[in-house]
This record gives sequence, structure tokens and C-alpha cells, in this order.
Amino acid sequence: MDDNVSFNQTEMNVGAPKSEKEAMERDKLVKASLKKTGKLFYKYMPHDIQGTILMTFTIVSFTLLMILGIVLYTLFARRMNTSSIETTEQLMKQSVVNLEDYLLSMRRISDAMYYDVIKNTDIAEDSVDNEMNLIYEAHKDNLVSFSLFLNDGRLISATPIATVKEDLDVTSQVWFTSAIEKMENLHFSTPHVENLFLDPAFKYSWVVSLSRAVELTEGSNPTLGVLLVDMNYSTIKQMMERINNDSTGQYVYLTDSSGNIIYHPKQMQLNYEIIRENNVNEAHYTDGLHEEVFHGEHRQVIVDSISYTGWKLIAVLPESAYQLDISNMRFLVILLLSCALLIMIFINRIISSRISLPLNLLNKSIRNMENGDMYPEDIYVGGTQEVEHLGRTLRHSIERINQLMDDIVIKQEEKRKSEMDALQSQINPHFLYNTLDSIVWMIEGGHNKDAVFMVTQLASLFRISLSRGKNIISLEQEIRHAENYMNIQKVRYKNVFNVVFDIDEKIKNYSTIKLIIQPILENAIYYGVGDMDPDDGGEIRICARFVPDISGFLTISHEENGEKPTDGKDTFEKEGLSEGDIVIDIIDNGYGMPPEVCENLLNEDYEPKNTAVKHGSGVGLVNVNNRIRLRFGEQYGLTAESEPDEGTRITIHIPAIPFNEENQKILESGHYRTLRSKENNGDKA
Amino acid sequence: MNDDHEIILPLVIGIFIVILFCVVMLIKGTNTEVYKVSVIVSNSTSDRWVNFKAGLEQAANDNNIRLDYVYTDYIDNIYTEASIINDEISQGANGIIADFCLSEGVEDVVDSISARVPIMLVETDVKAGADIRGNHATVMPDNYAIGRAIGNEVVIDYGESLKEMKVGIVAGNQNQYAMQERLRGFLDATGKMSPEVVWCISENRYTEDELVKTSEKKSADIVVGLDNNSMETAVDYFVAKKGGDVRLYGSGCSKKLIYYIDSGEVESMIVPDDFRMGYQSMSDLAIKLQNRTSALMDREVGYSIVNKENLFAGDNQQMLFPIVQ
Repeated sequence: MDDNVSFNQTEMNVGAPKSEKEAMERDKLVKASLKKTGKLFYKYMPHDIQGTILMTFTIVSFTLLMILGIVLYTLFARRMNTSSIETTEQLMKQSVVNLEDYLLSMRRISDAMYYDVIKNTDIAEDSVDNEMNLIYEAHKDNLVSFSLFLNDGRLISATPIATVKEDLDVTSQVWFTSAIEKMENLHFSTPHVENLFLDPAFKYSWVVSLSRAVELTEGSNPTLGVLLVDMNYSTIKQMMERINNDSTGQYVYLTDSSGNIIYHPKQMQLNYEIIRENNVNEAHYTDGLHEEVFHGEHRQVIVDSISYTGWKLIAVLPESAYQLDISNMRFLVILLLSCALLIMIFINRIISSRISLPLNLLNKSIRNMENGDMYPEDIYVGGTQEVEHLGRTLRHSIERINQLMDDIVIKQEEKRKSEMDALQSQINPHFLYNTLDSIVWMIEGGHNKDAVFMVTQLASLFRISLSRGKNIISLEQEIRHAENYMNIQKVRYKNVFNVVFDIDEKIKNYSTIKLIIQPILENAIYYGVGDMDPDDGGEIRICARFVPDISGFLTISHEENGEKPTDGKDTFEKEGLSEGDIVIDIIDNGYGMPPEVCENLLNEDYEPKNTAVKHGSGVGLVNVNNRIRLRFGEQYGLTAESEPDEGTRITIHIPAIPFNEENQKILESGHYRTLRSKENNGDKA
Repeated sequence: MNDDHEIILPLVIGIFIVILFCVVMLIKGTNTEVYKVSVIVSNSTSDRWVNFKAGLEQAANDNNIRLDYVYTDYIDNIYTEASIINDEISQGANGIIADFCLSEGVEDVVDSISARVPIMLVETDVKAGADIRGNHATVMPDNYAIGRAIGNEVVIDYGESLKEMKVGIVAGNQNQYAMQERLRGFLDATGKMSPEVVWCISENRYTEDELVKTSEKKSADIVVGLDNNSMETAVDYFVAKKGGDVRLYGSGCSKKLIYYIDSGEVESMIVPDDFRMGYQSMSDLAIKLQNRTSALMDREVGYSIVNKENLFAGDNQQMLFPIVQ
């Protein structure tokens, strides 16, 4: 007992963790699958406003259409069923009336023969053949034969064939026995092949026998007989066939009160047991609509009774009879719903697009803003009131931002200009000091003519220097300024060096910052050729070249000036310069300088260690370089090359900007770079 | 493709597919394909085919088949029959039901027809090649059993005295296996009694003349007709003769023969279930046409022994006098 208990406990202890583990694993699996489903759901859910609106509208439309479809389908199906039942009931009623009329007419024939002929005839003396034949002829379309038998089975009279088969025992036939058994009634048999006469035309007819017991007078003795009216079965068959022309599968059949089939549209199949019918049960149904399941098929049965005979007219409406119509209707409903859904999707798409388009456009504007396009006019303003308000507010914000940014730029430009002016003011005293120093030296030396020349040159120099306060002058003026300066210096240095101006005439109409050549010439004299012997052939060469610009702004300016730029592209590409620039080389063949000095020549912070004597201020080159770069950008300015005992070459690199009032104004305002970048953007666009 | 398209495009495509499917189903639903089946039997208007035709019509009606019951005269040439069948096929017949007048040497004909449309043979089987696709089969009664049943009827009626009887046989179309089998069955059934078979005529166009000549040469006590035509020929001759004591047995189903049973001229008759033969052959062919992968299968139908006593009995009444719709 204890062993058993412990064994069971062990079993439970081992089993419990195992099931817990399984439950945990199951939970994990469920969670993982839920997570996966959630991810999938999230993946396929729309993430934009239009998609969300469209999806929501579509789901709502689909749901509504589905409900509508189901309701319509149910209503239609019910209506169809009701309509079908009503139609069948009407048909049944009409058929019952027709059948009753037919059977009544048959009974009247029998009555006529019995009451009008047989009752008034003594069969021992008279024949009823003529009367029988007359009645038969009058109704032969509906009759197969008409006969009168004695109750022992002997034939009294018959038409159209007057004799029955040999050895025929009619008393065993059902119609005969029924008539004798219930003499007060008229008896309708089920259909059968008439077995009374031999027709030499080999004709065997299906008949429904109407038999009745009749009282005969044979001599003075009353006796019993049976009057038989064999109704042509084909008449009933034709009547029934007329109401069985429905191709849907519903049918009407006729039974007697016991359920024996009188007519069925598939009589042969029933006889051969190819199909089955619930005739025995259905014949016992009360009149009206019944529902039943027969051989697994749900069907509706309408039963109606034929008066007097007890026959039942039964209409069967199998579920499959509706199937074709219902199936067609189902497809029709699905088709209509699909079309409606499709239309709804397109309408929803238009609606969602109308709602979301302004937002999308606004969103696009904001994206463009993120990419740096801060143009207020590009901000979308439109759509619904709310979106329009958003757009308008955003546009105002951008305009404000731009204004603020412009203010900053202007302030910076002003700052730069002030720096430039400061640099300018640095050079003026420096130059004046040097020049006056030369004139003083000449006057002291008694060179009055030279002093006059010097003063004249100086006046010209100052006139150009002043230039009515403008910092931007034409290259022609700048070169003249350089010439004035060199003339002064040559006098001062007693022509110990030569000065050569190699100027391309075409560049003279281009703009430059004033006083950029003179400081370099000054340095070339002081550090280059100024201290050389006259015999050493010191020379300063000023070469100015031009390369035309093919791009928009400048090209237009060239054309406005009526000039055709020369093609100096190759030269400029070799020297790493861009097209549309002007370079001015100031070359001397003086002492030159070591590479480390040359490299740092333009470095503002560089202090030369071994410079013995420093002529001039020493800030000229740096100033010029700074001024050019401040005005035109970092890509412009000075470059220096030098070889000890070979000479020095200083190259001024400035953009080729035609000298006119408009350009002078732009350059003076310090907005050259802004305008240039705008111009480039315009070209790209 | 944005989110919108990712969702809507498959949905729209799906809806289009549904619409297309519904349209196809609606069109197909109202225009269901109706197959045409042609039936070629010898002497098609003969009364002996009434039951068979009733079966065909019922099955055609049940299976939504258009029945083309081809009018024919007496066919005793397979090429004529093949020509009629080919004409029917070329006129759009989807299936053929035929009673071949010849069982041997028709492999090519059967193969040629069954390669195009399924063919259901009735009454008799034939020698045919292998049928992998199940495109031909035979629906017929057990002809050997029918032959035996006729023999047994004779044996039952005559008993031991049959040994002294002379038997004449109108043996039907002996080019058909069916008739060969019936003859064999009859001879096997009567073999124990060893009646003297004084003549045996195979059916052809001139059977009637041949019967006259032969029976005049050698009179028979019992005449057996192995099929409806043979039986009718024998009945026509011997009923008209009215002289002898010839008793007639055989197989058939026409109203004429039923009349002669009813009148006592024919002792008994084996009635093959021709309604079933017609219904079964048409139903099987309909199934084959509606489902091409199915195979036609040989089927056997029953028969009844009819005499004057049971002629109007319930079951026989239904079989002998079908209610033609």
C-alpha cells in the first residue's frame, strides 16, 4: 500500500514539472506567434495619412457592403422561396381543378351509362352496345375502352373491341374486386396495362380503370354487374406533364390515397429503383406545405387532395431546385458588391487624396526646407482651412527666418566691409609715407624736374587712389596707378631697373579692387631689384592676362560690353585656375628668397627671423591677399613663387568681372559671393 | 510604391479576379454545356427498340444530354455503320451509342471512333484493342444466360420428350458475339436432352426466304428465335402458316411478340432489360463526357422470362410496357 502511494507520488512529481515546462513552452510559442502577427499587422498597416484614411474608409465600406449584401441575399432568397411556393401552390390548385374536372367528366360518363342506359335496359332482351358505343365515340379521346361485365365475369358489352381474351378471368382483376367489394362507390384504379382485349394492332394501353358495381336487369331478375370505364392514362399523363415542365428540379406527382404512384415524371426511374420517392409518407401528409428531409436532402412538399378519389397531388421542391437560381443570385450579389467595393475604393481614394494631398504638399515643402530650400514662395498654402492656416503660418515663419538670416548676412557683410576698410586705411599711410619719402629725397637732391614729375605722378596716383571713395575700379585705372607708382619709383631709384608692362588690352574693362598691384611692385622694388646695380639689368615685369568665362552672369556681361572673350582655357587649367579669371603676374629678377620664406610670404602670422633690413611696412602682400579673398572669395588672392638669385613671381588672381556700374555696385556692397552663388544656382536650375 | 499602393493594389486585383470569376460563373451557369450523343442501331424505327429508346431518353433528360437517335435502315455492313457514326461525329456528336452488326475484325473501327469520342456499345460486345483511356465499353445482357434460359424453357416444357423433338433455330446475327453466345447457351441448356437441331439459320436480309426454304425442307417441332428479329420472322412465318404444331420460344421485346405471347402463339420469351440497357449506356456516357478522366466500364443488364401467365404481373408490366415520357 505504501509502495503504491509512493509510486503514485513519484509519478506526479515527475509529471508536474514536465507539464509546467510544456505549458511554458506553449505560452512562449503563443507569445512568439502573437508578436509575429503583430509585426506583420504593423508592417502591412498604412503609415501615411492617405493610406490610413483609405484603409479605414475601405474597411468601413466593405463591412457595410457585406452587411447589405447578406441582408439583400437573405431577403432575395426568402422572397424567391416564398414566390416559388406561391407559384407552385397556384399551379397545384389549377391542376387539382383540372384533374377534378377530368375525373368528374369520367364519372359522368359512367353515370350516364349506368343511369341512362343500363338502368333502363333488360340485358336479356336488349343490347347496350349502341349506347355504349355512342358514349365511347363521344369521349374516345379520353377513353380506351368501355365495358360491362356480369358479376361472374362474363362480358355483356364492350367497345371498341367487342370480345375479351380467351380464358380471361376478370373477376381476379383489381378493378373488378374493388367494385364488388364496395358497391356504393366508384373506384379509380392505379395505372395499369389494360388486360381485357386482344388488339390485332399489337396495342397495349396504360389505363386508369373507373369501375362501379351496377344493378342489371336480366329478364325479371335483378343481378349485379360491373361497369368499367378504362380511362386513357395518357390524358392524365399529359395534364401532369404540362405542370412538370420546370427545369429547376421541382416536380409534381400524383398518388392514390395509399401512396401508390399514379403519375410521376420519373416513373421509369422509380420502377427501376434508379431514384426513390417518399410517396407513401407524403400521401399521408395533410394538405398544405410540409418540410422534410428525404435521403439527406432537405425539401419542401406541397400536398393537395383530389376530391372524391382521395388522390393526392404532391409537389416537391427540393433545396437543389433553388440552388441554380440561388447560386446565380449569390454570384450576382458578389459581383454587385465587388463592383460597389471597387467603386468605393476609387471614391475613397479620391476623398483620402483630397484630404491628404494638401498635408502631403505641406509635408513636402517642409522636407524641402530640411534640405535647405528656404524659399517662402515654395511653401504650399492651400487645401482645407486648417492646412491652409498651417501653410500660411509656416510661410510667415520662413519669411521671418529668411529675414533674420539676411540681417545676419548683411551684418556679417558690413563687418567684413569694415574690416576691408580698415585694411584699406592700413595701406594708405604706408604708401604715402614711402612716396613722400621719395619726393623729399628728390627735392633734397635738387632734382626739381623729377620732383615735379613725381608730384604729378603722385597726384594722378592719389586721384586713382581716391576714386571718389570707391574701392572697385577698372583694371585700366589700376594699371595706370601702377604705372604712376613705377614712374615715381624709377625716378627715385635712378632707373637701376626696368619696368615692363605686358597688359592684355581686353582686361582693362574688367573690375578690380584698387591698389592691389602697387604694394606688390613696392615689395618687388624693396626686396628684389631696388638694391641691384644698374649693370645687373634688374627688371620688373607686369603681365596681365584674361580667360573668358562661359557661365551665365559674366558671359552676359561680356556680351553687354560687346566683347568676345578669348579662349585661354588650356593655360588656366594648367595653372589650376578656373575659367573667367584674370591673373596679373608681377615678376622680378631680383634676389629672390628661400622657399621657406616664400611659402610664408602670405602668412599673416609669419615673422621672418633673419630679415636684416625691412623696407616698408611689410604688410602689403598680406593686406592685398586678404582684401582679394574677402571681396571675391577664398579661391582668389595671391600666389608667390621665388628662387634665390633668380627672382620672384607674385600672381594676383581675381575673377573677371566686367567693369560697369551695376557690377561695381554689387562688388562695392560686398555681396559679390552671394550674387555669384545665386547666379550659379540659377544656371543649374 | 508607397503604403497606399501596397495595400490597395492587391485588393483591387483581388476584386477584379472576384468580378471575373462571378461573371464567368454567371455566364457558365446560364449556358451549361449540353453534350450531344448519337445513337446508331440497326433498323432504328423497329418496335424492338422502344424500351431501349425510352431508357435513352430518360437518361438523356436526367443528364442534360441532347439525344440524336439516328434514323437507320437494316444495317448488316460494318462500313455502312462506321460511315454513319463518322458522319455523326463530324456533325458534332460528343459520344456514340451503337449496336455493331459485326463483332470480329472491327478493332480499327472501334479504335478510330474511340480515339475521337467515347463510344458505348450495346447488345453485343466486339473484339477491340486495349482501351487505356476507357473510351469504349459495352452494355449488354448476359447473352449466354439468355441462351440458356431459352433452352431451359424448352426443357421445362418438354422434359424427356425433348429428345425426340426437332428444333429449328433462327439464330440471330451470328456475326455478333452476343448471338453466338446465345446459341451456345441454348445448345448447352438443351444438350442433355440432345434434341435434333434440324436447322439453324443466321439472320440476314433474306432470313424470311431462307426460313421458308429450310423449314419446308425439314420441318421442326420447336422453333427458337434468339433475338427479336429472328423471333418476329419465325412468328410471322409460323403464325401465318397456321398448319403445324410448331411451338415458338425465344428472346425479344417488341409489342408484336408480346401480343403473340398474350395470344398464346409464343410459349415463352426471354425479355432483355432494354430500358436499363438504354438508360445505363446513356448515363455512363454522360458521366464520361462530363468527366473526361473517368473510364467507361462494361455493364450487364438483366432479363426476364415472360409467358402468358406472368405477362401482366407488376414487374413485367413495367418492363414490357414502359411509360414513355
